[in-house]
Formats: sequence, C-alpha cells, structure tokens
Amino acid sequence: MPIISLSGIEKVYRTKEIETTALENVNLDVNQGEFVSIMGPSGCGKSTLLNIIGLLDKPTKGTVTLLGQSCDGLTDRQLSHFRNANLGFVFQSFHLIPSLDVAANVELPLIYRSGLSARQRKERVEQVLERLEMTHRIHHLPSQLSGGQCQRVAIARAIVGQPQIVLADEPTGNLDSKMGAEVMGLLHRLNKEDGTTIVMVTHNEAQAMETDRIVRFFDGRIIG
Amino acid sequence: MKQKIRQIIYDMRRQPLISGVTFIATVMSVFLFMIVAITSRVKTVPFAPESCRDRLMVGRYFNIKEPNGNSDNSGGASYYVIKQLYDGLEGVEQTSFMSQDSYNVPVHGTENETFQATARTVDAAFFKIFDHELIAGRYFTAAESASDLPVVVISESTARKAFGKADATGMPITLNHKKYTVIGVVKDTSALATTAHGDVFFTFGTPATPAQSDDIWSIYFGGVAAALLVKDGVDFQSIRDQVKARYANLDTELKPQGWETVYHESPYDQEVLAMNIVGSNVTPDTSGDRKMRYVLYAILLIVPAINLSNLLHSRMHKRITEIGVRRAFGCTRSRIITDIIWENFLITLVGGLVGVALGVIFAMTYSGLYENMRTFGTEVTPAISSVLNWGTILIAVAVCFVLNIISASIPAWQASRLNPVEAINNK
Repeated sequence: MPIISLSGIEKVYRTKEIETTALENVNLDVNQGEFVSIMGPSGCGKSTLLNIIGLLDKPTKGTVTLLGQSCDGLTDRQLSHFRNANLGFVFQSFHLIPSLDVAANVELPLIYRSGLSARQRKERVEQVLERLEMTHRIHHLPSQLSGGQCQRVAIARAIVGQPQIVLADEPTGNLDSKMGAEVMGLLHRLNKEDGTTIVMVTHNEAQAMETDRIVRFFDGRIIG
Repeated sequence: MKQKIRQIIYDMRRQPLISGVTFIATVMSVFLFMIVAITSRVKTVPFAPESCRDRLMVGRYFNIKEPNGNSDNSGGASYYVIKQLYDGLEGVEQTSFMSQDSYNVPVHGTENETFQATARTVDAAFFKIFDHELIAGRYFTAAESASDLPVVVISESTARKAFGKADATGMPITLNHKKYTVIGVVKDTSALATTAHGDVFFTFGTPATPAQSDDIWSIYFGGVAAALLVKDGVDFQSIRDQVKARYANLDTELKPQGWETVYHESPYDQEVLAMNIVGSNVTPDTSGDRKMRYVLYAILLIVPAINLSNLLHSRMHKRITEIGVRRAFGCTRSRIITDIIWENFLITLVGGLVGVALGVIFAMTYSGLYENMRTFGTEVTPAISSVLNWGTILIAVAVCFVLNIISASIPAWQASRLNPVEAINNK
C-alpha cells in the first residue's frame, strides 16, 4: 500500500475577479521508503502539491491518503497532530526561528508532542545533531550559521520527531553547489538508513536524477 | 518558559522601538491604574489610627420631614439624637461620641507662633476605637471627657510647633483663645484617616439636654457623630436594622410635633464613608458608586489595551513566518493563542510590576493629591504596608492579566487563523 496516495486532486484559487487552477486531476502514489523528486517550471503547482501532501493546505477536490489514513475531514487539531507525528518539512529558506538557538530550533516538533520529558527531548535533539555533525553549534543562533549549516539544522528539525515522510521544498535552492551536494547526501542517507519516504521539489535535474523517481509537472498536471 | 523569555528578549532587540513603546505603555497603564486603585483603596484599607475600618461604622446626620412633604430638615445630628440612635446597640464593642467633623483652631503654646490645627471633640472611648499611638502622657478618662475640664490631647507635630518638644504633658496651651492643659501627646496621623485624624483632641464635655430647649432644630440637630466599633463577626446590616428600629422610636415623639424621620441606611461603613457624595438627606448609593468605579476601571483598562493590541499586532507581523513554521510542525491553533498570550503576559507582568512600583512611589511621595489636606502640614502618609500588600500586588497582577487578555487576544486569534502556507511564505 502506498504511504502517500493522492486521488483526483484539484486546487483552485478563487478571488472575486479571477479563478486560477493550480492543480488539476492529480493522481500520485508514493511508496514507503521511496525518494521522489517533483520537477517542473515555476508556478506549475509543485509547491502547492507539496503543501497538500503536507496537510498545510486543503485540495478543492480529491482525496489525500497518508499512511493508509484518509485525511479528508480531519479537524485542524487532528491535522496538527498528524503533521507532528508523521511529517517533517525542509524549506528552501530554512525558516529557522531566529530567536532560538540550534537546540531549541531542532526541539520545536517535540515540544508539540505529548509524553516526552524535557530530558528525553534533549537526548533526542543531541542524537540528531550528532548524526548531522552539528553538535559543536548546538548553542548558536541561526544568524551565526552558514547557509549549509542552517539547512542541516532544518533537516535535523524535520527528522527529530522520526517522521515517516519528509517533504523538502527546494532544499538546495539557496545553497551553493558544494553545500547543496552535502544536503542531498544527508537526505539520501536518511532515505537509505531510516527508510524515510522523501518527496522533494527541485529545479535541479542532476539532483532529481539521483532520486528513485521523478514526477514531472506542467500547468498543474502530472505529465510524466 | 525559557524559550518565551528568549523570544521576548530577541523581540526587544529586533524591534526596539515597538517593544520599548509597548513596555512603556504597559508601565504607564498599570501605573495609572494603580494610582486610581491606591487612591481608592487608601480610603477603605485599615491603617492607624483607623486600623479598625473593617469593623467601623459611623452614625452622623439626621433628616426629618413633614409627612405631607412640604418641609424637610436635614444636617448634623444633636447629641440627643445620636445617643438615642447609636448608644448601647447590640453587637457593638465600643461607641464613641465625637464631633461630626474636624475643624480648625488657632493654637498658641510657649513658642511665639500661633498656628492653625485640625481639632476634634471626642470622648474617652474614641481612643479605644482608634489607635492613636500615645508618645507622652495619657488619654482622657471617661470622667474627664464627660466634664468640661480644660484638658486636651495633641499630636506630636503640634507639640513640637507649640513647645519645641514632643513631650508637652502638663504644658498650658491656648486653643481658640482659651487656656487648656496638655495631658497627652499622640503620634501624628494621616489626614486620609478622615474619621479619626486630628492634631488637637478636646473632651466631649457635658452634653446639652433637650429639656433646655423647645426648638426642634436645637433638640435634634447639631454637630455630633457616633463611631461604632462592631464586634468581630457581627453583620453590619444587623446594626442598621437596630438603628432603623430606633428611628421608629424617635418618630413617636416627632410625629405629635408634625414631623417624621427619614432613614438613610445609617450608620455608614467605610465604603460609604469613602464615597465622595454623602449628604445628610440622601441615601448613599453604594451600588451606583461601585458601578461608576468599575466603569472607570474598565475605561482605564480598555483604552490602553487597544493601543497595546495594535502594538502587539505590529510585533506579530514580523513573526508570521515563524507562526507558519510552528503550525507546520504540529502546533495547534489554540497553542499559538496561548503561547502568544503567555509571552505577552510576561512582558505585561514585568511592565506591570514597574508600574506598581512607580505607582506606590508616586502615591507615597504625593499623598497630598489624594484628598484635600486640611491639616497644617502633618502630611503623614499611611504606612506603605497598608497600601502595598498582597492584596495590592494581586490587584496589579490581575490588572496585568486582564490588560494582557484584552490586548493579546485579537492579535493571538488572528495569528492562529493564519493559513500555514501563506504564513510560511509571509504573504
């Protein structure tokens, strides 16, 4: 059974004057442990699709099924809990919280999870940072880190809650090629070592080629 | 909590102007509120010499009218009326007869200067009800206070001004151009103790009896009041009920003369005594007065809260992406609201405590602003503990809490309603 299953997804943005179709009849299945790239020109609906998979946005039509559970009709609280337990996000601009140090940024998903003591949270954060070789920066603020380090912290934050699915929106878009390669290496490690399912939006053909599958988008439709 | 404090410090660094204005606005709002609250509280909170305020009732004023409503007489009551109404009530520990109000007298001692002092006429029980601290000599005996002996108790500052020393016991003093002997000196008191404050205390003397006059005004009206120290646990209403019954007794002698009494819920407790408008022919409207106070407090809270709300809204604007990220990682809408309210509460609390401190310093420094200070210069303020106690701090924290809830609720609710995608992209 696919871990992500999109069926007949349509997303229409409506204003008083205009109606824009961002996604049209999108059907997509992603299997457990798969690393999938989504490619396409700007404005074709890639990020919209990622947001719908991440339960950050709702489709106008269609069904989203994650981990075998239909997400239609879930309340905002249920969606929040589902995201917290099962999904990790990596953004192009890292989106670390500037007021918090590395440890507190990484800890973020855990503070919204019940049943974890402060000590358990601290242990998990240290483990993840050690794995991503960021322990030496644990008390630094994001402003004191390089772009590559910021993205490592962002990846640490995405995986600290041990989600089954990581959604990455152009994770190397703001990095130079060397750092980009490092980040891609990390994502591949996660995918291989933990079996984490990764869906990544990218413009980088070479990086996409390294993934298990490429889904190509154009004008809100899957074209290949 | 640690994260919230970090966030606040970070916010202050990143947005120093807005954060600074927010902090100062909070300080000033709570300061203003505290000034009003302390000013109001000082009128009711017990402090020496009125440490008994929570058990104190005062009977003063008298009102009669013709049954047909053609004529109405009201004013201060005579000793005869006050004794009829308030002497020997059940549930009362001490009853003191005293002048209805304080009044000014010219004072001259051994020093050259003649000066004005606030005087009261009191009986021996007065010093049992009110804790004027004796620093030399003694109070009146019951026999002295019921006689016309020319003896007085004076305040320390009066003694120093009149004689150049505090212990003026046995010294001759000229009061209102008449010679008296000082038998006791008490510590100065605050003019805020409106029932008991004084610098010169005359004996009550031998009261006139009604038989000496047949004029209704002379019999029933005068300038006498009764201070009642109610026993612990006795309900004020039970005292009022007894007094009301005594009004009915007075009616039996007044009605044949074509008059009847009008009862105005006397004797008054401290809340009524603290009210600004209490007339001899009106029934004090305590609930109306309370409502006015609450409206004033509400205005004092809502107006700054609206401004603080706008400021918080501006501060939150810079954190939209953060809110989106938090939502993405599982933060619920309600958690967003509570987090923002908590953060804001911490700022409000710190600002509030600074506001309280400023309020207390101001209140202590400029106590003359409280009331018309009729004293000649004994600006003794109530002990700081009487206004700054756990009750006041609790009020301040409650004010901060309410201010925070009012000011933070709308921005917090708006932040919680943000679409996570739009928030992350800061649209």
